[in-house]
Amino acid sequence: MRVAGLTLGADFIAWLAQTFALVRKEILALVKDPANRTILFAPALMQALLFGYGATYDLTHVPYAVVDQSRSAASTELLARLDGTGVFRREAALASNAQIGDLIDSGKVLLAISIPSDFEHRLTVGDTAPIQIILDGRNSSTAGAAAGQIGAIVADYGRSLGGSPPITVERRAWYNPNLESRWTLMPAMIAALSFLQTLLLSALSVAREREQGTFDQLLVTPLGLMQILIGKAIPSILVGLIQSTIILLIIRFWFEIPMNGSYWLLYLGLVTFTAAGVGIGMSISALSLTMQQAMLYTFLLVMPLMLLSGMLTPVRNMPQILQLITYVNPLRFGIDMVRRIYLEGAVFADVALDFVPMLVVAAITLPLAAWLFRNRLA
Amino acid sequence: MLLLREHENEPAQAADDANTNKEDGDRYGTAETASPSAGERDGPVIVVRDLVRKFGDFTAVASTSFDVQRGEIFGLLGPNGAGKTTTFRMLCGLLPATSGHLEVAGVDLRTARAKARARIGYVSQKFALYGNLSVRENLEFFAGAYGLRGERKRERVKAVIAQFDLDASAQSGILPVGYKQRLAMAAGLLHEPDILFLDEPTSGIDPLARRAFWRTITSLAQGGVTIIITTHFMEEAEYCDRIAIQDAGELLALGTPAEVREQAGDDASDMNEAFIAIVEQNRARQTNEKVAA
Repeated sequence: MRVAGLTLGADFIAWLAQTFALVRKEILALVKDPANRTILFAPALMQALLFGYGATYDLTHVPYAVVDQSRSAASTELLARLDGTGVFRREAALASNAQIGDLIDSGKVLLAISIPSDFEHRLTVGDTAPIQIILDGRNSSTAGAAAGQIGAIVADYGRSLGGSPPITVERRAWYNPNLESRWTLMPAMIAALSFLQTLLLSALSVAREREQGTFDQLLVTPLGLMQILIGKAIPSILVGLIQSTIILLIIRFWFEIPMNGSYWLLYLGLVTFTAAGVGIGMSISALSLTMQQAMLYTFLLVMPLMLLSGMLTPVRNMPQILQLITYVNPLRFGIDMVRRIYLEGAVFADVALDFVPMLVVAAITLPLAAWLFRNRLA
Repeated sequence: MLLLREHENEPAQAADDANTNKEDGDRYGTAETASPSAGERDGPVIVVRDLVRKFGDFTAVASTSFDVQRGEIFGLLGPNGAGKTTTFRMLCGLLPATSGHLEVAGVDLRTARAKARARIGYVSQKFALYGNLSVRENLEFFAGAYGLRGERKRERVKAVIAQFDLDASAQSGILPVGYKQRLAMAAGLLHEPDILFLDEPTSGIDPLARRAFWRTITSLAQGGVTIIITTHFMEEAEYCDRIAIQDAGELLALGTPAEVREQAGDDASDMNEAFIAIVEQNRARQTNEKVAA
């Protein structure tokens, strides 16, 4: 008998080999299904480009109002430079700041530029000359990008004046005090875009087998529930990471948004985030009898998860009760984590708290899914 | 067939029993714990006592008891909705019983450690392998899932491909029905199970393929493999060592085909008529009871 000779290590290797057989099968099944192949990577690529351009497209038409109280050569020159870009279209010249509200409310202009009466005087005496930009914060990403461009034009003009100190631009965003610019939207896509498809993919993984009757065949094998879970989760997590990578590359090299943080930390965060998403997906999958059911549940869940993620509207502006709900939303913390690592160059200590809710969600949903595999009432 | 061939290669002087025991030892001696079959080699391989399964108010299987001996071909027969698939799924551990006792190779497969499942093979009613994988990929996956590795895995995959005359590179999903069924059998036998569960394996395949299939089953049983099979082809019941007839969840008859024919009465010349007679007698009795009540 070789029974006694078997060690824990050999058992573990056998266990891993069994699990790997399932991982291999899952990946084969994934890439061999033509329907799967198309949803795997094409949408990530398309959406990233679409969002990238969607966020900047409006910059070719930025309607603005101006309150020029200076009415000087300097202010005229500055405004001429703005108009000269072909992007900014002056919709109205207002007499006072009080008139700005109506125009922004109605959406006729995206922003208003207010130049104080002492603008030229300050420039000539060598003082700093502040101008104010009032932005429509509802259209946050476009407004942010527009403000950035105005800032650049103003700085350029300031330099052309020679020795004078630069003109300062004072920004104020209405309706959204924490203006989210394109730069903050795009890195969020690294988490958000892959999330939907990872969720859908994992939600379909078990449901497909149930629908096609192969799940019973899997359950009668000696594969343990943990092995089935791991075998099914790993390919989904890999796909999620590949999608995130595609989006990351587009953002970094196509849209040239600089990455300030560590790639290692970013990927550690993405693995945690994707695992939480896969956990939710697998739980949906274990509950669903058919692929259609799994898809329906996924879409029911995706909208609230997206809305409550803080991607488009800041979480702290939400009602208290909704803010509490966002704690179970891995997307919220995934987006926050990616943004802070990507843009702020956050280190692990800065984003450690983002990991906690994601780990908790993964630690609950993944074992729950495994339990549901066998115990879901047929 | 393969098993038969293996037996032919064994030394001729070995008695049949010793032969199968030896093979058993070879096959499972490497398992982590002593094979549970060791203690009950002479006892029944499957024990079912007062098994009940309810879905809400509906009783799919009413108090059912039977034993299956090692090397036996045991047929579960019944009209559609009789509860045979429910019984079958409970035996395989795919469905929990509402009450009653159930043992397959000494354990309840539903709660048993995963390794116990390595001793059974399962061929489901509809094609339940991965349609977009090739024959070889399917077999390699199931070999891996059953814990076969390296040389042994290659050998077994090669052996079943030869045994069932399969085209390794063909895509499984577009195979003709008969080949799909062969592939399913091949996958179920890769790990040389002690017990093979077959859920209506012959529905939809032609008579020639069916005869070949039964030849395989018979030789497996001769090699000591216990076969549990559900079918609605009554002539196939004759190939079974013993059969159980179920209707509306109840076990109506249990015994060898000859015994069951006898139970059906004089006018049952073949199994088809015996089956109809038994089911109808029972249904008439139930109607009478209802009228009386």
